[in-house]
Amino acid sequence: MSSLQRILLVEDSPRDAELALDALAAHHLANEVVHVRDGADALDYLYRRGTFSGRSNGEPAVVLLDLKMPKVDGLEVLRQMKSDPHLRVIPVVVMTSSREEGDVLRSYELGVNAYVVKPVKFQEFVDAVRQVGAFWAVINEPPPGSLRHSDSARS
Amino acid sequence: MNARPAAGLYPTATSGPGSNSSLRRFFPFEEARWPLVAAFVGALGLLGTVAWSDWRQFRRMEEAAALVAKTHEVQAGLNRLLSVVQDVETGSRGFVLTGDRVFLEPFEAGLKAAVEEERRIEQLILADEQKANLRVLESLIANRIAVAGRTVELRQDAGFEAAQHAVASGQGEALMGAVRAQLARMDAIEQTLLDQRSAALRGEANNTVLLSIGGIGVSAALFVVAFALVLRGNRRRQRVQRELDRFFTLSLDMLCIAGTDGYFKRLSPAFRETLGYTTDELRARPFLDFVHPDDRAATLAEMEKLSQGVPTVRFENRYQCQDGSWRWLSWKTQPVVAEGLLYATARDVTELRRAQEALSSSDARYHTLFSSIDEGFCIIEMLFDEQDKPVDYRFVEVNPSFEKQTGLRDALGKRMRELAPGHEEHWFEIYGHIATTGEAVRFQNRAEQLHRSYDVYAFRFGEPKQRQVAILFRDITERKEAEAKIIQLNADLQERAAQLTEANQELESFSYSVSHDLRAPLRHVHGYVEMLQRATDGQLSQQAQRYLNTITEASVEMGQLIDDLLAFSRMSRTEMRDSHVPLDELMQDTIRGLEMATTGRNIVWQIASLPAVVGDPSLLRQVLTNLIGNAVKYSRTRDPAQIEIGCAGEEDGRIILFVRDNGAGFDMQYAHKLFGVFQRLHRADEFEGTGIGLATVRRIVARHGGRVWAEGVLDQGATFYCTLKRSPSA
Repeated sequence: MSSLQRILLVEDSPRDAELALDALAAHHLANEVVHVRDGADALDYLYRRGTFSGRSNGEPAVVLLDLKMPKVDGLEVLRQMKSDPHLRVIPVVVMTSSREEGDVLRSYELGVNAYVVKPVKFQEFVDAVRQVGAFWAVINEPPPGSLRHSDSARS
Repeated sequence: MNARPAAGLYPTATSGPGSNSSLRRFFPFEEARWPLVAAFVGALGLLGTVAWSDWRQFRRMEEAAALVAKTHEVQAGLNRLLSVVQDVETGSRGFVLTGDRVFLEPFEAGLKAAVEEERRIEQLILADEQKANLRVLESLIANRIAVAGRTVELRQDAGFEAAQHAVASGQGEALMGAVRAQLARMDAIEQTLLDQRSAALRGEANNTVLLSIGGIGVSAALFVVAFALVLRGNRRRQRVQRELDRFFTLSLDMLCIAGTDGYFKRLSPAFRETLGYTTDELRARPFLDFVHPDDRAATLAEMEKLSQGVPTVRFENRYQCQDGSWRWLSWKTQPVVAEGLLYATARDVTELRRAQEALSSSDARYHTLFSSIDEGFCIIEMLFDEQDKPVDYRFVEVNPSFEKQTGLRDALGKRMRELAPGHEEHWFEIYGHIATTGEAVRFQNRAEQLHRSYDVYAFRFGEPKQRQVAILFRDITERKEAEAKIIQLNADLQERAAQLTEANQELESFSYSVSHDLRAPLRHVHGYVEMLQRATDGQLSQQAQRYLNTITEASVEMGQLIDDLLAFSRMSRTEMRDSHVPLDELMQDTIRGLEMATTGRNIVWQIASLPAVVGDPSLLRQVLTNLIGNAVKYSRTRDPAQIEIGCAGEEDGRIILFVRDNGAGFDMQYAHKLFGVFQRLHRADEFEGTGIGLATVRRIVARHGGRVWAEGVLDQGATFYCTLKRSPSA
């Protein structure tokens, strides 16, 4: 089996998180999924601040980002990441319930790498998560510095 | 060409009555007139005197000649008397000697002849002395004849001797001698008279010659003087004539001499320049020919007055120019009745009249304007107190609209304070300022006592010291009120707009929330049901399994409803981008997009060629998707299904697109519900759907300015129509 990479899941809804993690796990893609509950936590993780100041080295291969969150929302996280020369190379996939044109447009303007609308039907949702996870965590070659699970296993 | 001879140049322009006129005609020069007249009169007088004196002299000479002749006759008579007396003597002597009676005949004849001769002489002689001498002679002759008679008687009575004796006495001889002497005396006197008279006659002749030569000489001298004077006068006359000619030619005014016969006699060049005719052309026709037909009667009347010697001070008529146009001429004319001439000057007043007419017509126009304009207009005279503070004003002039605009009746001549004591101070201040400074002011203000607002333009009128102000104003009360209303409406509208914006924003955030928050729980319901099924792994009863399926279906339906609702709301809010849309292509695209629904169906498509239209392509695609999708959906019970798409003519310049199917159709009594949001005419278990599609169609078509409608028969099919704007570039 190919090496898995770390996924950062930014999702305020515990149910959505559970469903997503379930979907990833069902397809053996969740070896290394870091789940944070809002945008502020996501930024703390990325910048190694607060509770995440002592986290292990290496950046996630992909960030799965919800938009509508308390405190700092997904678009703000996206904006900060894409305006940081170090973080901008990390692929960001927006996964949200909204098909609002404004959200889609704004996300692409900020440099999002993909935009996925969460389907209502669970099976479709699982498929979507699986495909996104497989693509970004397995198929896609991440930028240098991303942490591969196998790398850490080897080290 | 020149039918009329030109009159003499400049006969005197003034004609005084009396004999002087002809004199003046010949001697027009005042200063030379009297010497000239004196010379002529003197010369003529002299000539007359000479003639008269010559005539008298001639008469005298004639008389003198007659006297000379008479003297000669007297002398001849005296001789004849002597011979008669001698004949008487000889006869008596012969009778004495012979006694023959034959001798008595000459004696007797001599007696009678002597008396006759004496009578004749007596008539010829004039001098008294001669008359006395003649009487002496007569008595001598009578005596002699008496002696001869006595001798004859003696001879007869006494015979020869006695008679001889008597003769011898010598008495007869003595008497005879006395007769002779007397005759000689008288002859001598006559001779003297003759000499005197001849001398007088010669003297008279000499005098006459001298007098004639002198008189004629003086006359000739006088005539020479007169001639010189005339020559000099003539030269001056010619010079003045030339000067006058120059002025005549130079004058900008038209100068002319015309005859009362109706023809021009002489015209200054100004005529030619003004009217364009040559002088000859003007003289060839009666001048009335050139006068405007409408002015002829007046011209003739003026001519009539002129012919009575009344001068024309100012008379205007129109003359036709050579090019056919008309010029107004103003005439001043002096008639000279005696000569049948009119001396006239004319001036071209066409431009003047045109200007006057323009002025008077513009006056009239302004007056009409003044009385007909809807705006109020008035002229006021400001009244100031001792401190030169404007305190009141008086209406000097008001137009008819004034009353309507102010509600003030009969304001003319009245003061504003009389009419409206409460009129605001600022009105007086403004008008006072205008009257004092001459500044024109435009302003709007309210007159509370008149309950009106005014738009006013005021400016100083006439001389500053008159302190008059002209005011043009309009009652704008209604406008002001309307403006206030508009302002109020605007405020309301802005409030509404703000509310609407707020509502929109709420709607926006609402649909955002719906989009996120309503879908999430559905997804969760769906997800956990799935997970439950997986967790139980087929251990649930069939009934429990059906419940779970129903929960799933319900959540999916609700998800669809939410999506449709959001799409509808989004569609209403998104901006439209008009472009050229070929319906044919869009139609094919749409049908391809419906492949999922049409696969495995037996559908007979009947699609006419469609034009291009103007609209937003993505919105129009939604329209076609909904209409054709419906046709596919509601005809699925048919085999074959028939779907017809085409154009059904035009309406209001828009094409009518229709989509017809042979499907379930609908009851026309519910047709009004077809296009409502979430309105359905079929149960969900017959035909699935949320009831949002046709509402979307109607909304989109309405946003494109068209309309939609439908016709249907239950179980036989339906036809949906919409109107779209044809593309001009198609």
